[in-house]
Amino acid sequence: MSSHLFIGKLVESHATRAVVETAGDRIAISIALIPDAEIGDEVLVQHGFGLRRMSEALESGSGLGGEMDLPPGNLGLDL
Amino acid sequence: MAPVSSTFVNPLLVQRLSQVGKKLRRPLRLLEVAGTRAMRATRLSVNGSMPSQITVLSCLSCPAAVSDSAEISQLIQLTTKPGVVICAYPDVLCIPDHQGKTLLSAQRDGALVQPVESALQVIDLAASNPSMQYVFAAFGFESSTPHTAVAVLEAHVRQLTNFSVFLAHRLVVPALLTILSRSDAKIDGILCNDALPIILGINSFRRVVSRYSIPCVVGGYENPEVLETFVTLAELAAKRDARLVNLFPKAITDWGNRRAQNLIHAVFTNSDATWRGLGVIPHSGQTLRRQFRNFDARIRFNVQPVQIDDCSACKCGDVLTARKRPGECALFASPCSPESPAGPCMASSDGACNVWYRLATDASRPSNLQI
Repeated sequence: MSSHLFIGKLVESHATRAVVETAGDRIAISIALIPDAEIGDEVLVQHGFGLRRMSEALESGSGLGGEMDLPPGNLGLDL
Repeated sequence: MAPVSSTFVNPLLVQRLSQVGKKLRRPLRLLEVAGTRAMRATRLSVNGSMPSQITVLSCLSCPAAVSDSAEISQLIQLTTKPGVVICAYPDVLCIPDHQGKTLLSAQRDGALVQPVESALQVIDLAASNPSMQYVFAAFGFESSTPHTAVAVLEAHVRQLTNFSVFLAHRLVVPALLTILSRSDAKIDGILCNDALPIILGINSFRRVVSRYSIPCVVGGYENPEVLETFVTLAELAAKRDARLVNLFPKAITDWGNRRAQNLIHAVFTNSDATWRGLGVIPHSGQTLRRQFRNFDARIRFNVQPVQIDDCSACKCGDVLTARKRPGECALFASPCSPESPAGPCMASSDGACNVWYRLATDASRPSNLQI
């Protein structure tokens, strides 16, 4: 599958659905993975999903990104 | 075939790479994990400055390609069920099974196959067309798995009975550890310019670094960032400096996207999975948790196992696991090409063979470019 990543600017938001602008195009995405995204944020998008608020990663340093009280999912990492 | 356009090359990075080459007294083998498309631009960007001692290998270049060809056969089997629409990312449609059949060829024969760009697109289709059954062919590594998790949860909440998933997700780290554990691997460093560390976090590679004492560099996906990732890794590997380096802190963090990881954990559980070229790797795949098993297409449609006796000359399994470079497959370029692929690595635009073929045939490539 295309692994095309791009950065878009969030211009609309309705619950977990949103619209980003990139290169003059408006693209519908889901922000279910980045629910704290706000209008004006730059978000990294792949396969119709926002993966990361670009500003959040820098602000939080280690990028804990909320929900720290939950253990990380076991993805074979054994961390 | 559209040529790869040349990009601006930071001369300082090329100079740094050249310095590595001048001081290097031994061969280096660097392994690119996923992100093969990004490496294509890097290979051209160095304009023939790649030190001859450095060999670049790719592994796990395309998540659809690493899956066992039996899964493609099973999906094609599903297309024969009345009222079933198979929804898949465009590259999955081109992946051949052991008989050379693809979802695309099935579509040409009248099967209901729908290309999609997002898992949620399948949800919308199912909600709009309740009389049809929509099956999402869920391929992908951990950067894609959260999307399927969200789709399953949404289907669960909306009580959609005409949506299901054909799960073929894989976990990269177990496969990467398996590849590195081979005695002939001899890898001096790994890099990743993919969405994977954005979801998993850079700490997901810490186990690899500590177990094998090799550097790992993760970085951005645009051409200049990819080149910097490569050059940084070459420098560290040359010094045997087993460090974990993040060159894309704006998007890659220590622990990644925890919400995405928790969604994966809520919907899926780890299971054994079969990998092309690697066989069965424990805890390297995903299955739906019990409360979501009603969305499992294999169960819903009683998909039968497919026995594969694959004796073809195609070396995709070796290419995907960094045993061979694409040019070392006897079929590469003749007769295997993007127009007539013998295996998934050529069929998929993310596949190493596809990328290498386009490098080799790019009129703008330097004459001494190492393929």
